[in-house]
Amino acid sequence: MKRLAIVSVILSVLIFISCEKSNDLNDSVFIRDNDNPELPEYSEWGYNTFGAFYDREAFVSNSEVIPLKVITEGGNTSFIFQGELSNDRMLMEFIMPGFSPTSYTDMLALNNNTYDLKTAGWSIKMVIDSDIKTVEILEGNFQFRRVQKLNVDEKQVQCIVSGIFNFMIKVDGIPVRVTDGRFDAGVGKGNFYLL
Amino acid sequence: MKDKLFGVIVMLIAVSFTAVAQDTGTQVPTEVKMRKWFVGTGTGFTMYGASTPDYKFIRGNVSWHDHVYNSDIASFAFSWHAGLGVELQSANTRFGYSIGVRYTIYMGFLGATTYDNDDDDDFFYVRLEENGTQTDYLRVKSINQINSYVGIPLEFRYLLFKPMLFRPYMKLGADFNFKINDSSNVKFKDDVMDKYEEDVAKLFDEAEDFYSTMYFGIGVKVGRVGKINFNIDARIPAFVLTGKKAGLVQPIAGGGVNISVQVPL
Repeated sequence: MKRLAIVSVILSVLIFISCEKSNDLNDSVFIRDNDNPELPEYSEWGYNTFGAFYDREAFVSNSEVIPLKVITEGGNTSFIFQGELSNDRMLMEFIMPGFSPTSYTDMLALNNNTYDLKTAGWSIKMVIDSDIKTVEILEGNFQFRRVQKLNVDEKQVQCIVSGIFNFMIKVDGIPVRVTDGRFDAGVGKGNFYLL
Repeated sequence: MKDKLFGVIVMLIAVSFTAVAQDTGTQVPTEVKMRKWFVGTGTGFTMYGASTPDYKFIRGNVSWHDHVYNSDIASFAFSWHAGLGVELQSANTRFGYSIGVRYTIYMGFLGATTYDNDDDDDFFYVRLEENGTQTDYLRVKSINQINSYVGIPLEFRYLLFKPMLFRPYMKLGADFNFKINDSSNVKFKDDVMDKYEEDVAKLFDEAEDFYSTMYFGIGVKVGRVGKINFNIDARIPAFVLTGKKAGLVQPIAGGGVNISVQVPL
């Protein structure tokens, strides 16, 4: 009887483990960068990850919140990265003026484009652990290295946006460097908002 | 390492053959007519644990130590063989050296999570094509490669104890196999994608035209001295030795069973 109980527990654990796995495209695939293992490596697979050094700390995506949301409102488009900074929840929003896609497929227009954050009129909002920060851009750029339309079994499902960013900002009056930034995320009906 | 081990094994078999040829050990009583040569036929199978090569076109296909994502791809390899052979046994019936011809079917399998495909969530994404601003994935449940080979096995047996009806033995063997046919089968999540079967199969490595294995075995010979006998042995462990590209998956080590019957000449 005792042996049967042990076997049942083992089988239950094995079944649970096998059921837990998912092949959803919304899953995050965090592959450590060889040079900077705190950050995910740069990829163009739609692995739903991002990462950057906020001074010396790593601001990275996690599996708890949607890593990227794209919101179009009032003639501007916001790219909202949500993750964690040394165990604190952090949100970084890049607001791009003059770009108003009506669907996620319109984001293909961003493919292979680099924007100087200062001269292109971008703005950044930041929230660290529910604390809203005042941010002033000093210099830097944001590059969409690749934006691609993704078909699965011949059906269009999402756009994959991948790129890098580096910049220097003032946060509550104090200069901060954000370096080695990279992102690779799928944008589809679940995280594209037209308001 | 595997090449050196392979060389040692071949040398041991060659040396033992010499020992058998020169053996002048204990003679079996004259009332039993000695049979030194036996001809036989046998069949068996081997299952190998295998690793998935670093296919860049499979989404999320990365090894455990590089990441925190749980790859959903499982892999294994399996072979079945049948053949004919001759064995030369020593006068004291301790040693046996055999050579033959063998037909082998070798299958490599790559599948999502589990080996059966009843669960609708068991699939992985294969990147069929990427071109500028468009990328196409296909959802694949499994892929297998089936290759046929003709080969030459070489085996050395050491029979334990004195002649008896059930006599245990240890075996050391190697075989050298040449590919004569290959095929691939891909199972898609959506049957409509079957039209891409050949395109997907081409993405994966083909097995090389030659491969060899090495194996150890322990078994039992059933039969009287100089009479027809039956043999069953377990191959533990078995290794695929050669070829940088073993095909769809990379076999690591395995085990199996072999049965044979021998008739004295």
